[in-house]
Amino acid sequence: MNLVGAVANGFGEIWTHKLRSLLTLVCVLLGVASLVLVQGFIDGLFDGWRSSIEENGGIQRIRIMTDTPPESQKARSGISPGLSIEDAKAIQQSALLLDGVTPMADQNDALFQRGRKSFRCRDLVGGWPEIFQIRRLELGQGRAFGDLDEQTAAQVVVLGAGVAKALFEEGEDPVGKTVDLRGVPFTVIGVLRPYEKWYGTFNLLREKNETALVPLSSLMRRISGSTVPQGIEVQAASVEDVTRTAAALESLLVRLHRGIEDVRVISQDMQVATFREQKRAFMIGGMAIAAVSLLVSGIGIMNLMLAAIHERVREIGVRKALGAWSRDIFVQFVVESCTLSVCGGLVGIGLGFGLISLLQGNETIRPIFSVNAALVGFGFSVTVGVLAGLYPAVKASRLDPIEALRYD
Amino acid sequence: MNGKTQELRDPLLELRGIAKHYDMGETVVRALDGVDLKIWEGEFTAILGPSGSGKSTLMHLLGFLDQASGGEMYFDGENVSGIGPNQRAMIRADKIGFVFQTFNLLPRLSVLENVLLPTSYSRTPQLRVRDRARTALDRVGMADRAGHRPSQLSGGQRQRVAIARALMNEPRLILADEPTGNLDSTTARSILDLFKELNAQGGTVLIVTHDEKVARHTRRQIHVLDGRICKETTAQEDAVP
Ligand SMILES: Nc1ncnc2c1ncn2[C@@H]1O[C@H](COP(=O)(O)OP(=O)(O)OP(=O)(O)O)[C@@H](O)[C@H]1O
Ligand SMILES: [Mg+2]
Repeated sequence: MNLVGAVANGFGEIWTHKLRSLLTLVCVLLGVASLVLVQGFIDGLFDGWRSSIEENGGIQRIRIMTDTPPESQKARSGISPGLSIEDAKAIQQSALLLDGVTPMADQNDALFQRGRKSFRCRDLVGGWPEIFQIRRLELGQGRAFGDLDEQTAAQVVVLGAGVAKALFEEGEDPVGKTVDLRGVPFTVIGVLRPYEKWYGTFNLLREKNETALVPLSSLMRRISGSTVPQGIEVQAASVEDVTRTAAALESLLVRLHRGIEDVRVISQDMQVATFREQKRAFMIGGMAIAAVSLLVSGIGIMNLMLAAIHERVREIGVRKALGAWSRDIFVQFVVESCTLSVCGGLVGIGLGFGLISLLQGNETIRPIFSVNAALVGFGFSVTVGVLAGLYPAVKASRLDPIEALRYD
Repeated sequence: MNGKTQELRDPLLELRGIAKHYDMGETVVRALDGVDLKIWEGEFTAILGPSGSGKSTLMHLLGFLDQASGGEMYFDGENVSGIGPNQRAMIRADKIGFVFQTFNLLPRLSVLENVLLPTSYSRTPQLRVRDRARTALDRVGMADRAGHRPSQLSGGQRQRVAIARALMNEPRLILADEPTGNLDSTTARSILDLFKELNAQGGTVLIVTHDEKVARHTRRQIHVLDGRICKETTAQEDAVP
C-alpha cells in the first residue's frame, strides 16, 4: 500500500470512530497548543529583551561606573583621584582597540520649557559626540553635536522624539528653535528618530524617546556645575572583543587610580550570558511541559491503537492473507497513529496561535507568533504519533494470519 | 480434460510427504502426517473430512498461509518448500485467491474498495484497477452494489463480493474454506454454481468442506482423516443431482 493510500486509510479509521478519535485528538491538541503557547511566551520575552539590549548599544557597549572600593582598601581610598574626564582621555589614548569612548553625566527629570509648554525629560545626558554611536542613537532631523560644540560648551541640545513632540506643535520644525533647560536657553540642533518596540501596549524603547542630549561640557558648566562625570562609556571594537576589552579597561583604571578598585566595569556580555542562561532555563521548563504532554498524548494514542488492534485482528488476518507483508501492516498502523496525532497537532497549533492572538492586548506578558513554535508543535505531534504507534504496530504486524483469521 | 494430457505438464501444486505438527509440550498434534497430493490447473476439487481431520491446515499450506513442518512442496514444478514469509505473501497476493466461511470483508470499506484491496499488496504493477474490480464484480453479479457497505448486503451477496475479491488479481488457484458454511441451502447452491462457472471459465478451484452434499458439486473429492488422505473419488459433473 502506498503512503497516500495509508494516510487515506488512516483518515477512514479516524472517521469511523469519531468520538474515540476526538478524545485522543484532544490529548494531542492540548499538548501541542500549550507547547506553542509556552514557546510563544519564551520567544516574546526574549525577543523584547534582546532588542532592548540591542537598542541600548548592543553587546559592544561597556560602562564604567564609580564603585565602593573593597573593605581592605577603604582606609587608603583617598589616594585615588576617582573617576574623571582624565580617565576617559587616558582610555582614548591607550593602545586599546575601541570604536568610541565618552565620559557621561546625566540628570533625571530635567525640566524643559518653551513658551507655555513644559516637559520633564526622563534622562538628560551629557557626553562627547561619540555617545551617539555608542548608544546607537540615530537622528530623525537636524544634526548631532560635534567636537567644536563640546570644546565651546555650546548651548545646543538634541531632543528625543517624545521630548520634541511635547514641546512643539504638530508639524512644527524644532530644529533651530530655542528651549529653556532649567532656565538656560539651548538651541535645538537635532531630533532623534522615534523608537518603537511594542510589547503589548508597552513601548520597550519609550525611554529612548524621552531622552535629551547635550555636550558634556555644556551640561557641566551651564547646568550642573559639577566637573566629575558619572561614568564612562566605551564601545568595544567587536562583539568578540568585549570580554577582553572590559578586563583591559579594568586593569588600566585600577592603575590610573593608584591600585584602588573604586570603579566597576559593566559589560553587556555578562547580561547576555545571564540572558542565555535564563533562556536555557525557560527552554528546559518548556521542554519539561512538552515531555509531560508528549507522554500524556502518547499514552492516549497508544491506548487507542491497542484497542483498535484488538478490534481489527481479523482485518489484519485478511490483509495478510491477501498478500500484505508484516512491514505493510506495521506501516499502516504507524501511519494511522501519525495521522491521528498530526491532525491533533495541526488543530493544536491553530489553537495555540488563536490564544496568542487573544493575548496580544496584554501588557505584561505578550507571547509572539513564532514559526519556531509551529515547527516544534508539528515535530512534537509527529514524534508522538510515531512513538505511540510503534509498539501497537509491531504487535499488529507480528500477528499470525491463520490465528488472526480464526479470531472472533 | 483427461489424465494423459495432465501428465505432460507439471501440476500447479504438488505436495510430497507434507507434515504439519504442533508441539504442545507433552504431546505432538499431527494435524497433517505425510500428505502426497497433486492439484492440476483447471481442476474443481473438494477436500472432505470430519472436523479436526486437518482440512483447513491442508488448505493453509496449499494457500501459502502456513509453512509445513516436513515434506516438500512444488508450485509450477518449482520447489517452494523453504521460502520465507514475504515470498509466501507475494505468492498469496498474485497467485492465490481466498474465500472464507465468514466472508471476511472489511466493514469500513465499500464493496469496490474491498475488491480493490488485493491490488495494494501485489508487488507487480497494477493497471486499470478500477475497471478490473468492476469486471470482477460483474462476474459474480454484484456490479450494481459497488458503492454499498458489506453491512448492507445479505450473506450470499457478501460471499459473492468476497469471491470477486479473490478473482481480482486473476489467481492461479482459488481456495475456499467452508464457503457455504454460513449460508442457507438455496444461497449455498448459487455460490457453488458460481464456483462451477468460474471453473468452467478455466479457473482452478478448491473447496474445503465437511459436507458431502457440497463436495458432490466438485469433480474430484479428496477425503482427509486424521491428517492423511484416506480416499480419493472422482465424480462426473453429470452425476450431480
Ligand atoms: N495452532 C494449532 N495448535 C495446535 N493444534 C492445532 C493448531 N491448528 C490446528 N490444530 C489441530 O490440528 C488438527 C487439524 O485442524 P484443522 O483446523 O485443520 O481441522 P479441520 O479439518 O479444518 O476441522 P474443522 O472442520 O472443524 O474446521 C486439529 O486437531 C486441531 O486441533
Ligand atoms: Mg477447518
